[in-house]
Amino acid sequence: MSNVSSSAVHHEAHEHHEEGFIRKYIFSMDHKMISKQFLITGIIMGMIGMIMSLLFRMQLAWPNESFGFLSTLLGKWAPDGKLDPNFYLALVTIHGTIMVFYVLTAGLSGTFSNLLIPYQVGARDMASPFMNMLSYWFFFMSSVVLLISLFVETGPASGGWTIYPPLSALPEAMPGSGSGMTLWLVAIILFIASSLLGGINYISTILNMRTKGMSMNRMPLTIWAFFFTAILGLLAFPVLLGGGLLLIFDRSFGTSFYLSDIWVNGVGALNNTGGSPILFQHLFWFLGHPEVYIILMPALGITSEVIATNARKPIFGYTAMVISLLGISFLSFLVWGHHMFVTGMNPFLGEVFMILTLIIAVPSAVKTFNYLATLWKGNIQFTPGMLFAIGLVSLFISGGLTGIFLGNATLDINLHDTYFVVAHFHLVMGSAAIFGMLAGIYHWFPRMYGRYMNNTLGYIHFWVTFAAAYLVFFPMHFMGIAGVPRRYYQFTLLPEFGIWMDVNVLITIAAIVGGSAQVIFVWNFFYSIFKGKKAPQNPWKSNTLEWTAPVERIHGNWEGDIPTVYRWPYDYSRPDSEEDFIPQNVPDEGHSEEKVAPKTAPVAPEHKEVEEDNSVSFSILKRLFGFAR
Amino acid sequence: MNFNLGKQISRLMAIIALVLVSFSRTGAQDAANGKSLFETHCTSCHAIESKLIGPALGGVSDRREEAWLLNWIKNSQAMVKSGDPIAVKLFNENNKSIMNSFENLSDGEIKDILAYIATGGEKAAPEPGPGTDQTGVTTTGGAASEGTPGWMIAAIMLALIVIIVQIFNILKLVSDYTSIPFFNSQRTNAQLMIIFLVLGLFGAFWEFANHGKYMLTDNAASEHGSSIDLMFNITLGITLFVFVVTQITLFFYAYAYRGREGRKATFYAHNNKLEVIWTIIPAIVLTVLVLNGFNMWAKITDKAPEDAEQIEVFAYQFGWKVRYPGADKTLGQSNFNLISGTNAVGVGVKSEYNNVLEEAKETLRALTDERDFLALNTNPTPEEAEEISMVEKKYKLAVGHHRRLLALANNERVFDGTGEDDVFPNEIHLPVGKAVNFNFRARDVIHSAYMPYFRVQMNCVPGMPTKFWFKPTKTTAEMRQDLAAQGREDAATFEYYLFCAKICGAAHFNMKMKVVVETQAEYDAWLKEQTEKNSPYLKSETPVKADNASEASKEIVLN
Repeated sequence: MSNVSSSAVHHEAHEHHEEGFIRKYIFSMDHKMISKQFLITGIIMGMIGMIMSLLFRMQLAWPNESFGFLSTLLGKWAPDGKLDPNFYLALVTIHGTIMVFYVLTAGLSGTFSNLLIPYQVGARDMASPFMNMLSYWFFFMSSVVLLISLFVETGPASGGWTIYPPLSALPEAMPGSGSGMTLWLVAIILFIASSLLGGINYISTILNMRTKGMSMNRMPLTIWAFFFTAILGLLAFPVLLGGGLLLIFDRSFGTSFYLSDIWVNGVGALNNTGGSPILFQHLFWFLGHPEVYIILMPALGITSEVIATNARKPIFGYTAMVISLLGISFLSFLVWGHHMFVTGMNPFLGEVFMILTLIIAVPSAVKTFNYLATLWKGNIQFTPGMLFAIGLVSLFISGGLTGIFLGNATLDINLHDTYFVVAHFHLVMGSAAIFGMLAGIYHWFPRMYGRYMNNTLGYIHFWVTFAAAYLVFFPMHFMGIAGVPRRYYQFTLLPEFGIWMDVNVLITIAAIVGGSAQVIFVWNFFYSIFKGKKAPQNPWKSNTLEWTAPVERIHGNWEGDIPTVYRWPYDYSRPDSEEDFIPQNVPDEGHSEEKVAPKTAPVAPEHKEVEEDNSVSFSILKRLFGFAR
Repeated sequence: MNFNLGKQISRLMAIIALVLVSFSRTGAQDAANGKSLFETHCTSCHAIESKLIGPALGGVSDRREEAWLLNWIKNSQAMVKSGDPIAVKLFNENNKSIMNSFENLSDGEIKDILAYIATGGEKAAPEPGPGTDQTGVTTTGGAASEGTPGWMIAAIMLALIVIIVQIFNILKLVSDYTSIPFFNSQRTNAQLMIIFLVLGLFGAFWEFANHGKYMLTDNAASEHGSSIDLMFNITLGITLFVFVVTQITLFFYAYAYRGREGRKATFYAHNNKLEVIWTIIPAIVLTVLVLNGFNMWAKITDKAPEDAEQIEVFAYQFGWKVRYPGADKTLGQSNFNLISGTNAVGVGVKSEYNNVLEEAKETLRALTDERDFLALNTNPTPEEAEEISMVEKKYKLAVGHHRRLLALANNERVFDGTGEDDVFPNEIHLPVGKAVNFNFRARDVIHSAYMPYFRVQMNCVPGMPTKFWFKPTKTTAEMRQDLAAQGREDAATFEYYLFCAKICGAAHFNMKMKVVVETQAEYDAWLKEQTEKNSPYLKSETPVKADNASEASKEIVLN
């Protein structure tokens, strides 16, 4: 990118910046502010999702108790202080939706892609700041619509976050499939719009706006992770959009994409013929499985960066890490069928999906071993961020290994839709991704607010959360292997599951304790924004470019020229250097080994100038969306 | 007058039933029969003491007239539509969940159920019988009767967290004041890593020691299940090994390489040999697992043997219906358009077809009239407009249903006569050592038939029949012995069950059906008994006998 045009943008943007409160804090086009908006919305949604999970955990642990405050809080949904079964399912559904989409997709990827992509590739802002702002506001509207759906008379969507039709298509089958479901679909469509706007932006920024010398193979692993994540999102979300639209047609306009041969109690035989409920599952999981990696890969990217920085060691096997990310991204599109082994689909398809699913375990294993090798003979600094990154690796191992059971169609027969699945995905993509997000928050908090978060509170937060995560999800493996199905409102009517009562109580108590630890975090977060200890420019002695920018988070990120990059981001503890880190913008004096630090010659500025796109379509885009090139 | 009389009678009945139950268990035929009927038909949505999907039923005979209850249970929607004030109120109170209609239950049977409800459902002392696991109930009851220990613990834990934070704050103040570092975060965190590892591994082991015997890993009651168990154990062995090794490595590295002043990390950025090793080894192990799983999967999903018993399991909100093929060993064809109060799974039987067609014609005629009448209203208020659109919707459904029924009229395939002798028991019985082919269908939404001890699960999808065949290898009695040998407390009362594993609505948690595996002789005897008792269409030509089915069809005629 040329310095001239970028500083022009800088000045232009700077004038907007002066316009006042609304421009600066609400309809901001600055990537740093947008990332904070995503983060804070994500934290709020996360707390809501967590409280929901505590409510239904209480139902599972104390099914015969009546809690007075529940009827105060929930009104008709908790008559006599006991959750209504329909509302129990609604809570499960909305908890899943919020956590998967609103916290771990938007809250995690939205926050850190926005914050780090321009900073770490050396750009003044996103390719299109305006689209970036739109992305947040679509997300915000989507959150509002989802929260509104909680107050609909017939209750919010309650057919599970996977909203399988016919259950989700027939208001007669379940009250939650009425207007609550319509609002859910509207919310998700807005969410997809947000996600696509963001994704296009991330990809174009990474491809086009890297600073001088920032070749692809000098990008930090975070950026690689965000890059692949954005590509996955861009390819997968439109399929869910299609699936969701067809569901809307079935629900509201009498089509039969997913419905056939149905007789509903109270209505009788329906007219729909020829559709297939399984079709929806194919469309859903074509997004749904890449979605798992959309959630996980940014967390892994953050972990790579945090572990390398705090172990004071280069990340082990940079190239292998990138290749395994690529492998995971590619394979994640070919494994969706492992969610459907027992739907009665053609057994041959089951075989294909089984093979592809188990192949995807290989790159995941490589990543784990590389993390371990990075820690080996390191000089580990236990910052709260580092603790959460180590926690992620532990949870990723625990949750990942159970994937080998579930990916095997034969074993899946008896484990499908049991608590084993709940344990598996809560460890590997729930807890692990949340840990990645928390690692990122602690690590980049000084970058976002110029202050530290309180370390002691961070340590307490980590250890309580870590213990709680294992106490909540590990015992569920045993329940699952014993054949306890998931999404059950209570087990008291099934005496054969009575032995799990104590375990359920243990899990719920651990969940409540773990939940309270998040209150410590939230307090620490908001307190530190205003009162935290002031942080220096490069608090963790890190190599990446974001720490070369001034502590005052100015518009355009750097005063004067954007730094030029001379080396890869992982020159920690080089034997030939006094300091144990060498930032990327430190000129290379020619003693780095080619083998160790992959590099290409810095790109000359005039070389890029030629690529200016003057096509009509691009100039329209430029005018409409303010593409800055 | 009439109202009071009804109330008195039902009260009296309840008292009689109570007396009968409390004085002579064996003589309480009504309530005992009611209990089994209650468990078959009602428990998916109702409990006696507490509200579930529907309201609590305790004292229902006091609240309502018996005639009202009979009507309501048989067809609640009809009552709501007819505008019965209590019915409408109930419907709205319960979030407009539609109660299943039980037109197949006779008055006598419903009265039995009411009598059972009046006994209070034996809540105090659960009878250790089929399906009631003594230990389970006591555990459950225990949690309830001890008040709120969990709450207390949670509150204490919360307080503990606050205290910990406070202690840290105080210590920090002290150390700031005296400038003596009271804790070295590096060292403490590193030590906590090791403590966490040890406690964690111990916890996992403890959990395994305590609940390992409930894991379904070596007690499959089916032929393919044993192979699944073997594969499960192999996979468990491999993953457990990797789990322990990697977790120990991770936490140990975190401890051993904790940061210290003046120390520098080793610059070690890559090693292709290592990368290749830890790519190839997992790849090989996974290949072995895949090939193993691949072969098993192919075997399990292969076609059922020719001589397999055919059984149909039909899922609906919220329960299961089973169908045995009867004497001709062939399950009759079915069609969702034929579903009615007396034909729950929509079997292709001519007599049923005529009834349904008659009914559909009637509905269509009524709706046509109503629609024509409403069309006269050229300037409807919003409420009327809503009613018009409702009627329009129903009319379209009625037209479609009627049209599809007419199209079925001469369908030789559906009415090939194989359905006439089908048997509809209330439980699944299987002969040991003989292949069984389960045919799954669903009426309304996706359900999933899950029989954990047979290692069987298959979704029941509306519009897409699915199958799963297997060979049970242990009778219920044998399984009880095996479980007792494993030290399971619930062995004596163990039963196989069919559960629903796919979220299907409010009472998803409560769809279960007993499965009994028995010897061929026992099975034959049971099937013979069921054929006499529960094959409604075989007998519909020769009525008289006062059993459920013929009584039920009489009701319909009277209606």
